[in-house]
Amino acid sequence: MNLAVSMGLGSAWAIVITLGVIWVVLGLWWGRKAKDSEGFMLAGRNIGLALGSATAMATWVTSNTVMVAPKLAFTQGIWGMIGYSTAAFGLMLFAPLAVRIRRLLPNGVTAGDFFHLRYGQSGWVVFFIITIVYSLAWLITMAIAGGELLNVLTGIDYVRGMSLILLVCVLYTLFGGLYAVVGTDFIQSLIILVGIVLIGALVLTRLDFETAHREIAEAQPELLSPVMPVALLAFFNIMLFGFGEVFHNNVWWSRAFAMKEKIAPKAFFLSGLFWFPIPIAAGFAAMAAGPLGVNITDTNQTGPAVAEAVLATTWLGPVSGYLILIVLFCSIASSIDSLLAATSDLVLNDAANRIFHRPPSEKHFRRAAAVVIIGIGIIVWCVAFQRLPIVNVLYSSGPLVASLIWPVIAGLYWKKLNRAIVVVGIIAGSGLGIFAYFHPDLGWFTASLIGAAVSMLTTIAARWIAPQPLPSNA
Amino acid sequence: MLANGAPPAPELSSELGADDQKVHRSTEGVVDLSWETENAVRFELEEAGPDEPKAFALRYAGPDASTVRTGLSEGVHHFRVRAFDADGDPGPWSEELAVEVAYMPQGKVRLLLLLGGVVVIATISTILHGHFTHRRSPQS
Repeated sequence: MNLAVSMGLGSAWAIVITLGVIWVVLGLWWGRKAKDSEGFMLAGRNIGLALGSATAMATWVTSNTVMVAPKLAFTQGIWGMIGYSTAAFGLMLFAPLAVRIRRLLPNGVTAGDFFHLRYGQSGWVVFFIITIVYSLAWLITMAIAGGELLNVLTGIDYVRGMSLILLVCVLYTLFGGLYAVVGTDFIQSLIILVGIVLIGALVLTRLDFETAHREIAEAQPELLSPVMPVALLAFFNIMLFGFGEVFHNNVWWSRAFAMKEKIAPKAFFLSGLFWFPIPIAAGFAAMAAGPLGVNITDTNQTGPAVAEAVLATTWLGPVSGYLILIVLFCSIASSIDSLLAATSDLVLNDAANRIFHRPPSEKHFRRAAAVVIIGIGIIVWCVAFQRLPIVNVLYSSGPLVASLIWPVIAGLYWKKLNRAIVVVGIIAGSGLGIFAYFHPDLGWFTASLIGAAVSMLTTIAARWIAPQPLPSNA
Repeated sequence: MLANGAPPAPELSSELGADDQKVHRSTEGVVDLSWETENAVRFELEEAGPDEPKAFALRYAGPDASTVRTGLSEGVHHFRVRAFDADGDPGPWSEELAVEVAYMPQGKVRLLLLLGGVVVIATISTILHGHFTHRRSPQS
């Protein structure tokens, strides 16, 4: 099934502009609280449990959750569906790490502060390159996905749709910093949750389980197989990709610094718990595509295609397209704003301090933040305009972030390490993981696993081969 | 017997590369299929699995000119497609397209699964051990 343009162009523009105006106005409103740099970057280090859990969950509900989770379920069956959900464990395991992060770096601002403290300039450079490549790739794929989804669902021209969603996120991040990001994330997470639960519930009511099981077992037997090789390996791969992403990325570290100290671990654990069933609900609907009579012509559109087909059979009828549009717009915006804020913090804090040695003064901070946020927005727009296949860069960066799992854990908990060996391990894990990604005998579903395994072995070796005490004060 | 003016046999193709024997290979049990012909308003796609290579079963009927088949079992699968005109008259079947599904060898899968299990368990254990060791440590 090709997703048809299922609503009038005028109505579609009205919805996306209304949503955009709401987010920007809220950004301006919440942004009034950001009086200084700490308020702008870390929301005054005062975020409570409800906002903390919601912002972490909403950020993790990226377009990947509503696009890739259904794709994995449709191509890899039960293990693909459960495998994507294991990315929730990354959030849950970040809960204990957050406790240690706040103790080790009570005045920390970014993940870069930690890497510089524990692994010196060379370790920080390796981290910075990996995280900038990964974050920009993630941002660009979100912008492209946003433009494509608006185009497929509404007929809005790709460039106009992509530009609009990016402009809205840039504006409210610019006006409100982390206050605006966290506030909008809270509302967006509620909309996303309601939307996905509604679609999952509708699929449940419209599916004859016995017939569906028989049809899948006959036509797509491996989807129900407990030993499908690709899916089993992807299970560990996705989990480790998720660990690497959460453990290293400043999106999560900035939230750990921004939440009240005792709140952070609870908020991360709860957000993982709430997020866990979302890919299962989205994936379950996708697995039912065949029995529901939905012809999938592009696996990247499995989720929206099934959702639209199911909703169209309900009393919601033509309104279904609007619901899907609102949920997808929220999920993409909630990730773009978080990435914009966290990446600009990294540039403002880390690059200014450690590359240019000229951190912006408190007086000029907001102007510098505006320049960086707009600059990142322009870079993302330029690449997204070209529609370059950046999604391949994002997927192949799995081993890069997975190679940072063990250096983060060891840096947080261990007292002595051979820092040079750890840094070499990150580079080796990244290199071998990328090699596995492109090797025909291994494949994408082994890349993060190999990256994490190599880095784990070298980090453990670094504990025993000429270890030096790790610095604990900046 | 084909009706006069019925659509010609569609040309069936796959994004998977074909070898010298025109067999397409998939290592993930997934195949993208697309077809082209003229004067068609509807298509039927059939598949014969490795267990019964001549027993074709309907997999898709509708207006789309492509589909993605997933969850295919190991072995050679044969696909064919035909088009229908506006009066509902079918054209001839396309040439069969063979797709061989061969997953990663079991030995390699077990080795990688073992590695995955070890890495994940070691990661979780190290975090929990670190957490319980340091949870009462003072701020730096």
